[in-house]
Amino acid sequence: MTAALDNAPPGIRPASRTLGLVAALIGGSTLLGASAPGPTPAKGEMGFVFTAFAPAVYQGKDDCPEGLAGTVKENYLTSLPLAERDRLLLKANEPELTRKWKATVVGPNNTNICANPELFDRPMQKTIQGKVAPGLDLDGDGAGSCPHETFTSPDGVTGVDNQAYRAMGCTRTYRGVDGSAGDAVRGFNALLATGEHSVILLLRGVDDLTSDDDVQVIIGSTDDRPILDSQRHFVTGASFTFSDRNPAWRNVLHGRIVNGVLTTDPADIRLKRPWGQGGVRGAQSEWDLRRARLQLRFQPDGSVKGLLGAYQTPRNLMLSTILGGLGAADTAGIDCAAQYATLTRLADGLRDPKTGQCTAVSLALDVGAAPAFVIDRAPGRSIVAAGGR
Amino acid sequence: MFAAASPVLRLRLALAVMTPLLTWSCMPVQSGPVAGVAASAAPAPVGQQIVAMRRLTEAQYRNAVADIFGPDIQVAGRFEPIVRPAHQLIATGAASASISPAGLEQFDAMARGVAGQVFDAKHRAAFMPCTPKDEALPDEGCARATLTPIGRYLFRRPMTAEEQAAVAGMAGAAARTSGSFYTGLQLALSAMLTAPDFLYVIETAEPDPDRPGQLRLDNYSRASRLSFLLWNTTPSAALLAAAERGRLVDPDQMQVIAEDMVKSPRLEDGVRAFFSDMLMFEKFDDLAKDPVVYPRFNAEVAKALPEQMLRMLVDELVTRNGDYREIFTTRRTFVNRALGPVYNVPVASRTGWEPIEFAPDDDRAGILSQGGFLALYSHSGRSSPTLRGRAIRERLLCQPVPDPPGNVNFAVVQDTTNKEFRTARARLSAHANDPSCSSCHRITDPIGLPLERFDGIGAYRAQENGVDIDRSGTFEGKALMGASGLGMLLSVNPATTECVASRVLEYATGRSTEDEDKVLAKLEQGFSSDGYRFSALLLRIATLPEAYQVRAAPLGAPSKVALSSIPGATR
Amino acid sequence: MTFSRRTALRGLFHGAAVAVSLPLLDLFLDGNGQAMAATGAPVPIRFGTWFWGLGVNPTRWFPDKTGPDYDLKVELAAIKAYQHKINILSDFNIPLDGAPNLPHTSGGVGIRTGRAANGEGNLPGASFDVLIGDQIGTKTRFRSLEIASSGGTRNSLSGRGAGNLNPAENSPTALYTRLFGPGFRDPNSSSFTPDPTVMARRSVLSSVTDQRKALEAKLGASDKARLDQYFTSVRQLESQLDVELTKPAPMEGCAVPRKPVEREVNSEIENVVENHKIMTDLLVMAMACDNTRVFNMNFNNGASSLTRIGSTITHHQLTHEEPLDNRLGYQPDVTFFVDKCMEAWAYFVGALDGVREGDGTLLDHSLVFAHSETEFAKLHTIDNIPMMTAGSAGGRIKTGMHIAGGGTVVSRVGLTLQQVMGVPVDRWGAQSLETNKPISELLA
Repeated sequence: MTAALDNAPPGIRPASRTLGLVAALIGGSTLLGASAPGPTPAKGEMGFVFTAFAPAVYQGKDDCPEGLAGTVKENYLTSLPLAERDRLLLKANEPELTRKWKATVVGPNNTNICANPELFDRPMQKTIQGKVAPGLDLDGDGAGSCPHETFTSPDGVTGVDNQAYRAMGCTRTYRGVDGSAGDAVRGFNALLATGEHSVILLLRGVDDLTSDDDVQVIIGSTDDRPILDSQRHFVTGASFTFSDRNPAWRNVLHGRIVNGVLTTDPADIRLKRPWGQGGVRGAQSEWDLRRARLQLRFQPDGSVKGLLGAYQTPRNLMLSTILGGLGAADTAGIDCAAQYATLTRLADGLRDPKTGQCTAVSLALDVGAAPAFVIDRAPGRSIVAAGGR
Repeated sequence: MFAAASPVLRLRLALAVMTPLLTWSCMPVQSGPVAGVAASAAPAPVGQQIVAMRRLTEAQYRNAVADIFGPDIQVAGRFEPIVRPAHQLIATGAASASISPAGLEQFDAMARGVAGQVFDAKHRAAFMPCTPKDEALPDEGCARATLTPIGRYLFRRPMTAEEQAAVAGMAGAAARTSGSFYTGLQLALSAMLTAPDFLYVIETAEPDPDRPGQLRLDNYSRASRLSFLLWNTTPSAALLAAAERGRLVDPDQMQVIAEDMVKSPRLEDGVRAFFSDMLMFEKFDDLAKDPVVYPRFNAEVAKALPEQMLRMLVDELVTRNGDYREIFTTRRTFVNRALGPVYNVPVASRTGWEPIEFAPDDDRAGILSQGGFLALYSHSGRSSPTLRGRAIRERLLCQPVPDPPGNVNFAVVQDTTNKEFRTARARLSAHANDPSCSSCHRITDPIGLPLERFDGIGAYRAQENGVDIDRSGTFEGKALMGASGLGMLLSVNPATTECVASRVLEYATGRSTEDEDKVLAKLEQGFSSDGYRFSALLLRIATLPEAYQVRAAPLGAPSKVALSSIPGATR
Repeated sequence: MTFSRRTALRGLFHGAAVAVSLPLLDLFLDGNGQAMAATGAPVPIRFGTWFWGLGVNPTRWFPDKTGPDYDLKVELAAIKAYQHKINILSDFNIPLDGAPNLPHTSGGVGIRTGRAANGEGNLPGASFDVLIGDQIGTKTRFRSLEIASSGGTRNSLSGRGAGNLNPAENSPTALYTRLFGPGFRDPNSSSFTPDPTVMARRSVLSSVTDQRKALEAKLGASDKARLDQYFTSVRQLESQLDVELTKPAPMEGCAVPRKPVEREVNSEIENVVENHKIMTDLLVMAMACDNTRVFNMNFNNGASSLTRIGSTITHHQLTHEEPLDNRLGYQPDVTFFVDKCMEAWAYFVGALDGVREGDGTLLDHSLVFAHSETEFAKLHTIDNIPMMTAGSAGGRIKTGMHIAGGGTVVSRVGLTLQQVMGVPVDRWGAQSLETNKPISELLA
């Protein structure tokens, strides 16, 4: 269900702070020790701040038998006849190779494969060949979705819908090269810690942590920067308020708890995503997760851990690289067009009634959250500091 | 009614004064210019003697500049700290603080910065009642008219004829060499801001008609006393006017004036400054905690802890005009976002402060359970019943505790991983049982141990190393439980009120109160009859006749003079 | 036993006045950056910045140990010969208060201005090197010099904000002409004119002293001692101003160098290293001849376009393309460029240290602040950006230490360096980056 490298148990403090940072980023930041706000909710309310919120990656041995999905340069070389490929790979011809592959990322009228992937016709990239992947069964009996292969979860649950992982799981940024996970996972979780992309969770009406069939679940963005200790772990007991920049970034879901696991009914979740990677710099975007479901298990230390399954359009899934524009393609070598083609081809959800085509891919995010105080606000009302100056 | 100063200067100081003050300052009076354009100024009266020089603290300097020149004038620089004498206040240390070369260099830089802003094109109109005949040349008349009123506020008394001439001369000479009248003004003003008459509050005494042969503080010194005690700032125009008219040596008029000042919202500044001194808040600058043991502690928490204590004290003692003894028992305080994790409470304010009230069984009671007190009197990696007990004795009861002897082996008490002694109480038992240690530890530990449910940063903990923490203790022979029990016993112990009364007296006068038993006894009685309201205590001491009596020997008596240890000093 | 006030220990503080001297610093700088050299003749103190783009491999650069005698990891090994004169600063954060983290921009801007960046190529406020230049750079021919060794006149983090950015000199020959062509000021031949403002300040201080007698007449003996101390301090300040009014000592190290050969300006690493060497030597000589006391050197640009000769893969590309192997903990191909940056830094420090001045070197009389714009370029992280200082500013700061900031704001660095260089400032930075807490571990 989760990535191979699990959360380090609380209390472990790696000797090097930066190694700790890297270790923490893989499975989400580790938690502070046991003095969390107690396991029994007060007034049925429980608050959390997310310490992990990134694509769930499974490191199966046979998942990418042909190696990782190619960079732009690699895909360009693959497209050439063998003799030409060998010629361009000679050291002396490196400037020519660079010129040629870089030329493939731009199109007429200032377009490029990352900002406008839909305009470029590229072959699909290498996809996941294995049968096991984390995720949820999102479409039940399959009505409303397009035919596709499902996965079996690492725990043996069948019918897992995770086409996004099938499409992207062999890319460098998802898979990485060291058997744990790639930069996408590290990067997304790092952004939770710096506060650029902090997400909070509020549960209401929790009567019992093992069994409760009516729980209100609010998941939303916050502008409050998490409080970290000197080892970059999240300090529990910090207070967060939902961001008031956009009422859409406060999503109210309905859930139930069965056997200590909280599941929510499908609903759309929108969250802020403020980072840009180059190109249209400083531009704001958002997470647009359709028919999303949370599946969270209550942990003994007061935190929650699990998955978020949803559908995302290829565009929204690739949004941070799309904002990177040309830089993402010609500096980071990301073949956005190939990714886009693969995602579009493997789309399995949100059928367009007019065309009959599916427009979104199923996905699963590895999520985890630490206990926190979450202050709710009615949409449009701001919290005024009471008392004091 | 007001001095013939420039319009905005008058206005600034008027705004600093509450409306009630206008009632007494508007009394019909023969008005004359207090510090007029003409060179007529108050000469030093016969027998005038300087009896104290009290260096301005950083807060007082900043408040004075803001009140005289407006809050948009920046003060940029570092203030040489005032040394606190053992068991006394910084206010007392100020009365013997000197200014080192490095300190003066900073004051000089600050002075040039302030003067540069005051007379720059944007601000100068507000401070000048005149314009120079030629901007490139000296203009003595305009320089005097500008600088003399300012000097009255800076020196907290009218400038003497010699001083006015000197300052106008400085401005003229500087204008000549620089080719700018305004540069001349700037340099003259920076000299005034560096002069000892500004940097030190100089208290002068005059013969006391009620006690022949003795001295009493004169009117202007009383104005400074009132203003710094109650508002921690320089005397306002109205207060200086009252001094000029001799109102402050008349007990009845002094009473009216002081009452108005106590009712003003500016009393909060005075109360904050007093408690920061009495509770040794300068120690917060050095507060450091082991980040592994206390991951919740960070720079934002360190900044918030003293502010929390001050807000609590101001709320209880000023806003609610409360009984001083309630600061040991109140469950009300304030929190901001940074403190949320320390107290484990939700904080709705994203950037500000909000009030909270703890539940009765949280055992948070008053000042002893404020994170700032608990963190300050702990070590970097563990709590300390002994430091806390000592702090209660010394800060809140005014009972000094001797230092430990030099040859103590601290190994046992420092080892928090010892399997046999798992709690601080167990670790300290070694000291409690050793006769050479117990005489002092009996004084401190039994009152520090009840606070052990709060760790080294003031966060709650029920256990230490797996053992439930015992909250019992004793104070003055009575058994008690936890912070609330201790707070209750302290609140009914007369030493607490005696202590704060003596501290306020020391703070007001800048002198140790060791020899003031009779006065203190009288004060304590009055404090009690006022229901121990702290603002009433401030008023009482502000108007206390004994506080203005000077027991200085007349000038000329020989006494020891400490040699300056600075190389290059002439003596 | 009740322990009351009466049993307080007495005798700790006898009634006599205590003249306590609390110098904040051992050596003082006057407002114009002059210090007293051992001979009593003034030696100017210099300040400068040295910038490199794309950070480091954190596990291979940051020392594990804090304090003196820090361990040198592989990517820091280049500084070994000067380690005792270099401080490492780590673990300082840049909170942006919701402003976007502009990759390769927000970090450098945050460090230099104490504010969040709000757009490309614009500084949101004055960079602190400019504030220092206003303090110590007004007496020399150039208030400051900006140089970039990999091209780009906008490769600069120095300016006043509001659209003002000091452009950088790119070409060694152009730099030479600017420094040593017509207009070069030979410090050893020019005549000296005292500054009229300083003269005015000096005479004002004399007037302050003239007021002494009036005050003393009314003082008791115990206060006389303190007044004495005060006027001693005034005399000290007067002496400092006197120093400024005297002709400075000859600059022994000054000698006009030869004009360099015209060179290409581009981002090929070997070429950049060479251009950097040449321009460093020119800058050092400009300082030895006191034509400037403030400088800003950018080795490469923020989104480093450095390449190896014959290759078209840029440093930037590698940081994003080369996957991070967590078993290694770093990016091996990126290391090549990090090493080159550090070697260039070591050269720069060595060049300053090679000029003898009085009883020390030009480096000893300087404070150079080196920094990058990100910690780990791949993730664009701006907390824990690597920073260093070299030189002791004439003994004003300690050297040879690794100081960790404990997650406090990076504007403490800018605040501290301004204070060290004599800028009268006690708080600096905006919003969450505002601070009034200098880094006391740095101060001597």
